[in-house]
Amino acid sequence: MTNLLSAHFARLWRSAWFWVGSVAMAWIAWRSVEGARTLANYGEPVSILSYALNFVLVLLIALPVFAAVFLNADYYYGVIRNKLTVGQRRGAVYLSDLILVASVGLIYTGVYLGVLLGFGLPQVGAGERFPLLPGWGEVAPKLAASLAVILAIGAMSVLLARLMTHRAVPLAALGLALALIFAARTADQMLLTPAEVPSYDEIVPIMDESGRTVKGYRKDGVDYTLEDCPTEPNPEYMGEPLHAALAFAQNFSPAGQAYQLYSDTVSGPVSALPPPPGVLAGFALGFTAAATGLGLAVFQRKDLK
Amino acid sequence: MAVINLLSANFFSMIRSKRFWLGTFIMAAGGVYMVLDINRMKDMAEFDGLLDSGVFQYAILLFLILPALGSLFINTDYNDGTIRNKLTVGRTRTQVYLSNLITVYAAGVFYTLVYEAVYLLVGFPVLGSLRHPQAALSKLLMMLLLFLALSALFTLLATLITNRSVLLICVFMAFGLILGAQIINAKLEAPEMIEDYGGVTYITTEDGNMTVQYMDKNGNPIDPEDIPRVPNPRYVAEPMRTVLRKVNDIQPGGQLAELLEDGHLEPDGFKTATPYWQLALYAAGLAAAVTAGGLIFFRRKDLK
Repeated sequence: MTNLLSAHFARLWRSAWFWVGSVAMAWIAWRSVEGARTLANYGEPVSILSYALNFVLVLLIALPVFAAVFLNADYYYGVIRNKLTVGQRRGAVYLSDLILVASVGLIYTGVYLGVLLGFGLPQVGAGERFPLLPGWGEVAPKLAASLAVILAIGAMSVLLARLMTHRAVPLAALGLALALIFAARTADQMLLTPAEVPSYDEIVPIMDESGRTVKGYRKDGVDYTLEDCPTEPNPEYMGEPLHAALAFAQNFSPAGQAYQLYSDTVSGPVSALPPPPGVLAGFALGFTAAATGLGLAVFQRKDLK
Repeated sequence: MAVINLLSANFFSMIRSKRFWLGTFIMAAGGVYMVLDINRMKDMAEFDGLLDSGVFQYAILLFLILPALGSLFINTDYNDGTIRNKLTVGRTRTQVYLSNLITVYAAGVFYTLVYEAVYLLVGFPVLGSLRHPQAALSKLLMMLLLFLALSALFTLLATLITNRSVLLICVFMAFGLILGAQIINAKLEAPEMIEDYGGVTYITTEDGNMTVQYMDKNGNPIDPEDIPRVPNPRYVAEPMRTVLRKVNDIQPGGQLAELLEDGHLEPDGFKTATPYWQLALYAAGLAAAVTAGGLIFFRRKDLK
């Protein structure tokens, strides 16, 4: 395995696609810093930590594509048979691939965070003056959980790259990554749909107990605030057990994990309530084990001619 | 006659390709999805010309699928060695190049027709008829020219780059053209003068409404009418403004943005559209120039 890893990393540093990915991660981080700096210049409340987890969604595209390009060369040039001929076991080949891809994920993460925090913290700050923005106490556990998510994405990437030998596998990886992001976003929106919605005839301005004018709901001539307005079942709510099944799928899939980490810390649509970072990491490790187990089982039997 | 034989072989190969039918399925599914999505949104907001709003939403998808399919198709010739067979039996390099271009473009036209057929067939009963059919037709013709230019560009790349990396290069370049167009449009939208204030805060008025309070550079409240205006450092002045606008009018990603958004925003906040005849000229010109360049380079290329 040491020899396999040594060969992998020797090839990695000479891989143009690896360096293209690194530059892309740095560029994305730089654009985030520029965006945050523009907001800060206008006095808007902003924290560079709000962008700290954006990289996970980018890795969801970058890692499968990189794995497909890098590992497919083994099939294309017949190197995979050489590895087995010199005595390497299939399990060792597969696991060395996983370690390589996960390492690339960590390197890309380091590049992204290095640029983002290195340039962003001095220029924009961590939002200490804005208590409503995420601080280190909130972001640090999620960054730790993202390490497990990177491993899960790596496991998914290696599974695809090792099972599909055709040279079009990079396109398949890209298409799959985009489809998974789309599916995660759609699942998120579906999970956000409430089980009940306010039942009212019209929206009217009303006075609350403190004398302020607030949004009110009028039903059968009676005015209610949002809290005490009668409700009715939401026809768009999917109901159980579908809702629970979708929530599990969203938490178990690397795309769902990445999307929840990403959307919870940036302004925009509020994500469905994600599980705590530790639980999300547990799901990620579970997916890694399942995907790797499946990949090993199939790869052991795969015809490599 | 020779080109017809090549085209016949190419079309036969394309029709038997699973990836081609996968692309067809994606376009058809996109048509159905668009109808369902518009139907869902019409309940949430006032919508005019419902069926019209989704007629060209396929274009971004096709902008990415066509380079992928085209580069894969052409790269297969190199991978399997069939390109040398074609030349050995007497086909000229020009014939091979042009037949590949026509095949890739034909796939793009086919995908367009699949999307439109599915979208309109499913959409008519659900969303009603087209409000502006003539406008839709002229935009469709413009789209077809745009995809001719795109096909020419990626035929050039796929023919000159024999490595299997060309598949990814073409797709990423397509992404880059779209992204580049968005970046250029955003730069050109920046106003010439901007308000120079220190920050904003939100206050609650006596009647309970939330309002924005502007602060000057010293942190003192200031009325919006009294905020000083200064030159915008991000404003793109001439001649770079004209250069960037022309780049976006010529490159396929910029043309796509122009067609999908019915123009581009100017610094004064008003939308302006580049005339279709200009876009058509640029698309046709780009297709011709790229094809001519491709033919020249392909004739000299070592195919061993």
